Amino acid sequence: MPPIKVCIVEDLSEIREGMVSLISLDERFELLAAFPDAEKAAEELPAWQPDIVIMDINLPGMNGIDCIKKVKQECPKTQFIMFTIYEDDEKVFEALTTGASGYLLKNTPLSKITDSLVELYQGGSPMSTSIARKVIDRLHHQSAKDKMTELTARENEVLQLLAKGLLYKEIGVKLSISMGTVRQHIHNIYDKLHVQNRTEALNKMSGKA
Amino acid sequence: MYKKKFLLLHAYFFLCLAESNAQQLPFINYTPSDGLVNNQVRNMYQDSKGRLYFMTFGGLSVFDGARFTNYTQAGGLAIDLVNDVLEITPDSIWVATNTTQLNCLVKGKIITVKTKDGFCPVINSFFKSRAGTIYVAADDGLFVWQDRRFRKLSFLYKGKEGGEFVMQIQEAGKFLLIRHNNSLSKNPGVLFLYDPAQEKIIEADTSLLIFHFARHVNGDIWAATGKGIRILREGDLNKGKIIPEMLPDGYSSVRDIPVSLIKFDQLGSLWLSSYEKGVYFIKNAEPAVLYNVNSGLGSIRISYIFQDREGNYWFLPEGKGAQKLVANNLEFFDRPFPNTMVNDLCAEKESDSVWLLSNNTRKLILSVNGRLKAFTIPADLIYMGRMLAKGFSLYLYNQFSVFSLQVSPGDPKVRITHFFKDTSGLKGNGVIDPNGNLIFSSDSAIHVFLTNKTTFTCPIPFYTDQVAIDKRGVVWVATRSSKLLSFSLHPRDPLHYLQSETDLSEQMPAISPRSVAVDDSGRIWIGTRYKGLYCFRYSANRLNMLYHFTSKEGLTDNSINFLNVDRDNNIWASSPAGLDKLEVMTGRVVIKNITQGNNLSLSFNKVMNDRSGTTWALNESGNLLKVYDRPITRLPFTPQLYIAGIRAGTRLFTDADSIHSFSYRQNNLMISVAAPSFYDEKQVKYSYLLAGSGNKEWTDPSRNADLNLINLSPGQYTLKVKASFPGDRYPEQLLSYSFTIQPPWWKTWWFRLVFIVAAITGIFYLIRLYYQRKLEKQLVILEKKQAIEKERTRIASDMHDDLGAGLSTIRFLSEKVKRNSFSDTTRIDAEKIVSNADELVQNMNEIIWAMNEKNDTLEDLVFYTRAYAMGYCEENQLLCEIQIPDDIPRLFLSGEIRRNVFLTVKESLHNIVKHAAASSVTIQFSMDPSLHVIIHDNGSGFSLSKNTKGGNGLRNMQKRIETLGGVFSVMDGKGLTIEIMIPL
Repeated sequence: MPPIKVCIVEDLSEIREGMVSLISLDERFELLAAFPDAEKAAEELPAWQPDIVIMDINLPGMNGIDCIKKVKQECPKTQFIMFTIYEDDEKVFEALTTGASGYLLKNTPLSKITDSLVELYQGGSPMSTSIARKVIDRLHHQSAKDKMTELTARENEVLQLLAKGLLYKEIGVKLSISMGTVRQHIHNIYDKLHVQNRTEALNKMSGKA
Repeated sequence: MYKKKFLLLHAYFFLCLAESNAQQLPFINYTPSDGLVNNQVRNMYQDSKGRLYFMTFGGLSVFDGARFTNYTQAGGLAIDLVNDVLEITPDSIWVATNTTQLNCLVKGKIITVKTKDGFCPVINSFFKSRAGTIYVAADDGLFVWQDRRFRKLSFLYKGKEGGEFVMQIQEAGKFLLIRHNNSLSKNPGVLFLYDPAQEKIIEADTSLLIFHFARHVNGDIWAATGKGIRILREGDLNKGKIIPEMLPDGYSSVRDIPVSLIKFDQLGSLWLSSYEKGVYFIKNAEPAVLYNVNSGLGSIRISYIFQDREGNYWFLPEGKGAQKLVANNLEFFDRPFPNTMVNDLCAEKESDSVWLLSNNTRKLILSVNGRLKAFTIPADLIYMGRMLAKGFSLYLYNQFSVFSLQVSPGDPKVRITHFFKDTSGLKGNGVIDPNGNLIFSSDSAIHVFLTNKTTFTCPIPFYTDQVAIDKRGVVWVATRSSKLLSFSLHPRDPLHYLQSETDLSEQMPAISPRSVAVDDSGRIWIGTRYKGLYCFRYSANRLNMLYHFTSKEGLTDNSINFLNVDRDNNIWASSPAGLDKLEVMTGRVVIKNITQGNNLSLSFNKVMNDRSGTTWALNESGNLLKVYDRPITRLPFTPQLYIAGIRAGTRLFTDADSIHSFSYRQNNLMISVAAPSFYDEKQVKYSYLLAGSGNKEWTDPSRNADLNLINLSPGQYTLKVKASFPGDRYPEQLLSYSFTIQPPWWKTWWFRLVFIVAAITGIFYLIRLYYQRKLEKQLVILEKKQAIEKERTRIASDMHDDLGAGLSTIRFLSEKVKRNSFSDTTRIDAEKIVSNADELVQNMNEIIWAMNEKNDTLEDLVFYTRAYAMGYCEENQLLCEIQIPDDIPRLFLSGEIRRNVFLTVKESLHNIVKHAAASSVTIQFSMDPSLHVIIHDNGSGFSLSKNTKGGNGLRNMQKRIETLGGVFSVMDGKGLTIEIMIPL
């Protein structure tokens, strides 16, 4: 398996350097670049075409979310992982709807960060209860318009249970599926959220909404 | 034999009677003291309501019978000198004053008439033709009222405009007869016949000096000239000819008298005024009757003679106001002959002869049908006295003797013979009974002097004033002590000539009789000292009272001193205040005041009637009043009762139709009514009933025509007024006037409604305002809160961003230290830093969750808490069971509640993990309807001695819950149960 090509956008040098050393030491990854701000990242990311961009949200100047917006089109295969301190931050949800396919909490122990990254890259997305509730709000109330954004029955079940505060494990037990499947469903849900978000943006542009 | 002699004598006397002295007529005077505006009355008019208009040199007086209403220059008239008035429409009367301005009296108010062209001539008189055209005799000529203006009619005479100072206009056939002012006109005395159709003079007569003219019913014109009266036939006038004719033979007495005023009354009688003689009255060409100052006329210079619609005559003597003559059936002799005082009078309804006795002139006077003959009583009769007469049986009596008197036509002296001596007991009145005997009432006895010269005395209980003999020849006496006795006459038994028939004393009320009479129907009339007049009927031994009349019922006075029954069975009552006649009709009695209405206030003491129906009354001063039995001139007319004005507070409304509503302040009303009748206007009586006032009784009839309604409370009223006329001459008149006294505005239903609506609206708005204020305040507070919230959020977000970043850095660095350190202590410390940083981050995360308003529902709280609890328990190998109801109500919860509830649950779990040594925990959420969270573990339970820290935690939790107004409770036993209750 070729190493996962990673770029990092993080303004705090200690963390950036920590991450750089953590990732560059791990052979499952190939660190392409690390940026201290979004402007530079937005400029260079298309050239790198990484597999994963670990994106900090709060950046001086342009923030991480805008950066994703800017480069998403040019980096279609890139997964953006939000690098955040708080999982219930409104901005995390915003990023998820914009194009991020998951988030990585900064207080994840260093030993687990790389594993989490692999998991994320393979489609295992995290979703907190509050995010699940927001996703339901967003997808359910508007999805009927577009087949592309319509959740499958299973995805819907997963999402509902998540919103009710059930753990992945519990959901797995309840639905008789593995936790990996639960994660996969969540990943799919994020994708549909992106699509939905894009459709909405297009609709807005063409004046259909 | 007796009768034959009587008739012969009677016939003979007719031939030698002298004509009576000038009669006084009961003129009634109206002067400024009665309310007339001025004494110089020029002309009179009567409008359709019956009101009389007196045109004077000093204003206009309108008399409605109850009051004079005067109009002068001060009251709106152009000037005070009023020339003529004319009713245009009812309640709209033109008033022409001697100036170029015409006034109109509209419903009691003077206005100025505005002609179309603004022109108004000086109007001397109006003339309304039978076709309704109004012609105007003016100083500027002859005018016609057309198209709301006065159009001058052309009046070319001898090539010159001759119409000026026109005084009188009269219809003469199809033409008009025009008279000018004789002194001011350029054509004095010329009589013009004018054709108004061609507007030209047809004929002019210069031979007559015309003062006045009048139109006879047959269309002829009677003209008053300086040489007497001339008649202009309608036929001649229609042909355009003025051919004066002399008066026919019947009028010889007035043929050559210069006449200034000529007038036909409504009965066709002729009235003439001559400045030299007085007023002549000629009825049906009968001999003229002259009224002059001796008859009572104020002056022989009469400005106008007027007959009102009732038939009363009005005379306007120059400078003497107005005089009314109603009773042309009354004659008031001052004296039959000069200086002849009349002391006694005898008349009987079977004879035309009336005997008068004058003591001061010692004359016995015989009157037959208005002609008089006087006989002298010789001086040998020293004491005069009173008289009894029946036919030619004459007696004179005084307190010494009774004398028999004989008269013969050829002898001017009375022959006297003694009849009785010593009659000192005679005090009352006497009669001659059907047998020719003399019966006297007296003190405690009745004296009878029989023709055979014997005497008979019958004792009675008390003084008696009058003796009455009924048709059956029964003698009635009523003593002053209220005893009523009757006696039958027994001529064949002179010793018992009077025999008591009945004694009704027991049945008599105590009424103090003073006079008695028995009418042809057997009714006994008793006049009293001060209780009026009673009428009784005696039948089947019962005395029944039929009537009782007093001044309230219309008698002139309550003291009746003499009663007499006339040939028509009417009762005549004399009193110290006047003379009344009572006509007994079926079911009612009409009282007629003979003297009172005619301004004659005289004290009468005897009244008798002759065969012709003439009533003779003798007054105290020796004067005689004769009342002829002929109807008073009366025309078909009924006065109408109407409201003359309403005074409400200070406001006067002269038009009652226009006002039916008064304000609560105008609740004292004076309603003036009038029923113009001038027959005896002072005896027109009004009574009223105010429906709506609670009073259901008519007031006593009173002469007061100003009805005062005092202090009326708001409400609806109907005033009913009744007018009754003296002697029942006219049927009672009724009027009804409805009006409302408005409640004060604050008591009206509409105001109350408006008030309630306004109050409700006001309260509504106040409440709304209150809530709006409150809302605004809340909004302000909310805004403040929001601002604080925003600021808090900003601070928090800044904090969490910076703090978060810092913590992340610390954490990273610590991890780095941990990794790179070879010292265990350093590693452990670094580990602690990492976990502390993690915990801080976790706390921050919770704060962010609680602060995010998007997570503001109960569901959010429950599910978030669940997720946390599940995660935490898993981390700490604690079996966790969470029970959540399927239906969570959609309720919004503030961040404060969410945060505190979450933190309480979190802290409980921490406590359980740290201190309880439990293996499982149950968390139970319920909303019923408060939020209940029960956390139960299977641990060691709670012990304060062991776990002071835990106790602190509990206090914290309790504090959190209590700040939310909730209840926090802990139960120990088989593990610990914590229950949180938050009211939602």
